[in-house]
Amino acid sequence: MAEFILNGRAASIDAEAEMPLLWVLRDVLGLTGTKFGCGIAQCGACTVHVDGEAQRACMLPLAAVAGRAVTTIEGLGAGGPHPVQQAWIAEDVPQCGYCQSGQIMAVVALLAREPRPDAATVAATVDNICRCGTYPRLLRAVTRAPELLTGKAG
Amino acid sequence: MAGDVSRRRFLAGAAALGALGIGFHWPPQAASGEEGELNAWLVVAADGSVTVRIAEAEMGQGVTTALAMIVAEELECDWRGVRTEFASVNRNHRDGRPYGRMLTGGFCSVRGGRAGLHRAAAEARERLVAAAAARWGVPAASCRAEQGFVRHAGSGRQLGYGELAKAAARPPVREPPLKSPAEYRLLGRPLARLDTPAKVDGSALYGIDVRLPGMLYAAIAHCPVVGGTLERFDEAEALRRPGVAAIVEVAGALAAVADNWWRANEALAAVRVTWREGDNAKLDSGVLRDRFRAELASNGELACERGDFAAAMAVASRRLEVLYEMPFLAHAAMEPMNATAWVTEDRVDVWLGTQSPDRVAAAASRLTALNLDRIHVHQCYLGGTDAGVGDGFGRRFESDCAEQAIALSKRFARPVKVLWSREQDMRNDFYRPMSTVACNAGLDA
Repeated sequence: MAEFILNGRAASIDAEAEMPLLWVLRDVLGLTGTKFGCGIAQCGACTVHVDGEAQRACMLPLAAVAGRAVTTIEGLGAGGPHPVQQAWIAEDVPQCGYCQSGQIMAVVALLAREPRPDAATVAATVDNICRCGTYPRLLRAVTRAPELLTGKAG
Repeated sequence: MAGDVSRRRFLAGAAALGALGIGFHWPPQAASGEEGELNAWLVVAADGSVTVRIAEAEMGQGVTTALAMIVAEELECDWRGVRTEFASVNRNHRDGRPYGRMLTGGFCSVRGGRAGLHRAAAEARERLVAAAAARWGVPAASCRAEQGFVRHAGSGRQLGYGELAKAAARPPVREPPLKSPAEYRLLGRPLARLDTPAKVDGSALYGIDVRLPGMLYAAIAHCPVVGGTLERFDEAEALRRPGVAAIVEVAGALAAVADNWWRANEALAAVRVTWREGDNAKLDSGVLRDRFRAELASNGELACERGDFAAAMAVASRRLEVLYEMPFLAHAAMEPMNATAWVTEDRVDVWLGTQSPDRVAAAASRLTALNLDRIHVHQCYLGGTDAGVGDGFGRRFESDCAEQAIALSKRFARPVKVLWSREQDMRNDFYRPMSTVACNAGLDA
């Protein structure tokens, strides 16, 4: 049994302590926005936030999130699209779209830490794989997002 | 070389596909009776919003938006009220194939489908105009369609498409006039993709996301050697693990079935399995490389020769002898191979992202001995195929994973989702063929 906060609400999960959070989210809780890509924390499709930090859920045991706050793509835009999602829509970033939940979660975590990252920082920090090659648009959206974030704060 | 021959054959097939186009049937079949359906391609709701049926796979190439634009343009409806849904594969079988061959590849979705979509939308528009004219008792020629309304020039009256859809559902107009490109409002303009909002909030449904009541999850292990089969396995330890329903053979591979995929995949690792590796047991990259080099030397095909090669080489001041070797390459789509099937006595449902729904339906029919009218293939978004550019050589033409799901669902009489691990996906691809190419050139000073 593990208890944690999921998208702002208390969650109590009866599953193996070593079961990766990804499968708890997808198969036990039905939150399928977080994707499975590689299973070895390389591709980033499963990126979620744990206490605000980007984490790859496919190798994160359920026990590791006990007592912590987990946010998934479904929780990000709960009160209307998050500014980063708005920037994604404005730049029409996705193609096949499969990696995009993870990309967005990684970018939101980065912007919380560093509101105006340069391109090198984005490339080094958001190393999620996109097979369609949406990186240039992703970068444009990251550039646009801080203005939207500021707008929201103001 | 063997690899090159198979690739050439595939190219020939793909070229033929492009030449044939998508194979629309015209006129579109009469409306199915669904409220607001004007023909197989579009539905006008009472509020005037339009649903466009997409008979192609969306794998990132933007085809849902492109095809919807064509329909909206010719229909003269309001783009802001346009949504899409994937066309019914089952209906295509039952209704005289209004969507033609449901197959996506060869870069021909727009080029091949465009003419048919223009006509389908134009004839729907003409019927909306005729319905309005009839209601007003005026000649159709005095009315025109504009942005979701039919307007009567003489009186200034107008009716929304939503108010006209019911009356417009009557036999198709055979030769509808098409808009001239000069009148286009949408085509040729960059528009925001219709699928973007669902792809940024996690709600877009890929095959891997399908969930059904009572569904079992299966993880698969294939023989590590191509062409090998399952010899025997000891599942005792795996069966003791929580949530595990069964360990079974499925088409020469091993399947672990459990109440979630992680448990299934962990159970699979706990099975003691012996493979019958067969003739390819000693085949590896080194063997292939040597074989291809030998074939090139003895049996290579001359692809290109320019100039008087021997004479030029004899006097060349610089000679280049280069060997290009490309290995077998996996598609490595971001979304690992998966399919979900639900087989009952008189019906099969399969959910997946596929470039070839027809092939999946045929496989389901073959495996269950049910007629195609009992087979329902539900198209989902594809998490990439090959570099996500709608590449016609895509992995998702194949029905192998769907066949496993169908066989398992039939066996357990429950919905079953089959998902391959990334490792299984990479090791069991229909690879891009290996090739070895020599290039010899002479350069003058």
